[in-house]
Amino acid sequence: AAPVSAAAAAAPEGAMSNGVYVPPSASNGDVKPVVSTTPLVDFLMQLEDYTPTIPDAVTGYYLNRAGFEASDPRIIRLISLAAQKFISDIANDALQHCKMKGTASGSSRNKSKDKKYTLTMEDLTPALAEYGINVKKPHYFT
Amino acid sequence: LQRSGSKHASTPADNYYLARRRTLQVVVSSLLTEAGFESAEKAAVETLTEMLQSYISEIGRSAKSYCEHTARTQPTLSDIVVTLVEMGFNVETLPAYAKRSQRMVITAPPVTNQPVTPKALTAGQNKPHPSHIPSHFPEFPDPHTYIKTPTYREPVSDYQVLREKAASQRRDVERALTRFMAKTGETQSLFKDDVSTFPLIAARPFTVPYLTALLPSELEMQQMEETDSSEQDDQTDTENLPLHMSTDDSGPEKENASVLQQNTSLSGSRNGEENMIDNPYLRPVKKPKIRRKK
Repeated sequence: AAPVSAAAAAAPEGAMSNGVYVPPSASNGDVKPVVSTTPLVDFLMQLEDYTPTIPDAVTGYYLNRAGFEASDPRIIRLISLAAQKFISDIANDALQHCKMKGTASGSSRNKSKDKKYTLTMEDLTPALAEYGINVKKPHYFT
Repeated sequence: LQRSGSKHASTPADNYYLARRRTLQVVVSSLLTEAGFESAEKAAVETLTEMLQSYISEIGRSAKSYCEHTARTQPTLSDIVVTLVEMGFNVETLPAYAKRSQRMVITAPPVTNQPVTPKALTAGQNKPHPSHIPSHFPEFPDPHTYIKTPTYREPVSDYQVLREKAASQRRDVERALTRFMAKTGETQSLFKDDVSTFPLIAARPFTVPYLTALLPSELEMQQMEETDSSEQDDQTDTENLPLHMSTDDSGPEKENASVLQQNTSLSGSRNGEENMIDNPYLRPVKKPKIRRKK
């Protein structure tokens, strides 16, 4: 099925354009109220060569469980790519937190912070909180 | 839809599911490595894996809903774009990300875990599906499932064999009965020395042999009364008959009457013979006298 480039006209209030919420009070002439899929159509063609980290079978398995039957394998790659980006964004935020904690007190200014970063829950929790995901791990008794 | 930490034997569906979950964990680990982390807490990896799985599922569900909302069945690019936008995902940055991460090593080969019964265990051709069963249903079991052996043998129906069996049974019954009568009653033996080998049922002579012939027992009295009454009915019938029929039939009617009389006398003699044997099991029933207290 040929993908249709839809130009969705956003509502005047509470516009969701480019995936970024634009409050009506802050709207100015530069904000484009239209989300078009034309760049993504071209991108979809490029996806034929590029294989995301998540295999197609795995993504397809989870999509099938949700009731999503993909006609085009490139759609699956797009979704897996989006999910990858989601996780890597969170990981980058957690890395920032980790770096901030490391160099906050100004220790070891001569050499840069050691390259060994470990993802801990203490870093992950504030990173997820920015996305609105609240995780609480129980404190173990031992 | 996930089973938390079950230690029971997992079904092929569980294996399927777990394999894919492990793949997701590997993917998450590779993404973290790409971000710059050397190591990670297990809880953190689990959290991100769970998030990744639910994210993919949510995209699938939401895209499906959008697609069906516009009366279609096959999702297109627009549905996914709208879904991603709704989930707060910046779609514009996606191509940039794709180009950026092209240097990442592509790990996690796809899992091929299809449970198939080994060929060595199947025996024979399975029964094919009848037309009303869809083809994606599981197959019928092996044909040895339907074998049944009856636990009984067919009875013999050969005429000759049956006749032989009937004859031998009858002979055995007669022999058993006569032996029983000999054991319970008096016996006479043919041989002087050996008494028990061939016992003959003793013929008990009466002092007045003709007495039993003349005086019938109660049982015989009843029988005689019945036969007399039937005789009388017959005689009245025979008497009535000439009223309607011609006189030529009078001869055979008289013969019938005489035959009836002979029959009663014969039955009387037979009863006398039975009396002479005097088998305790053939004696008439003795009813206890009931004294009614007034």
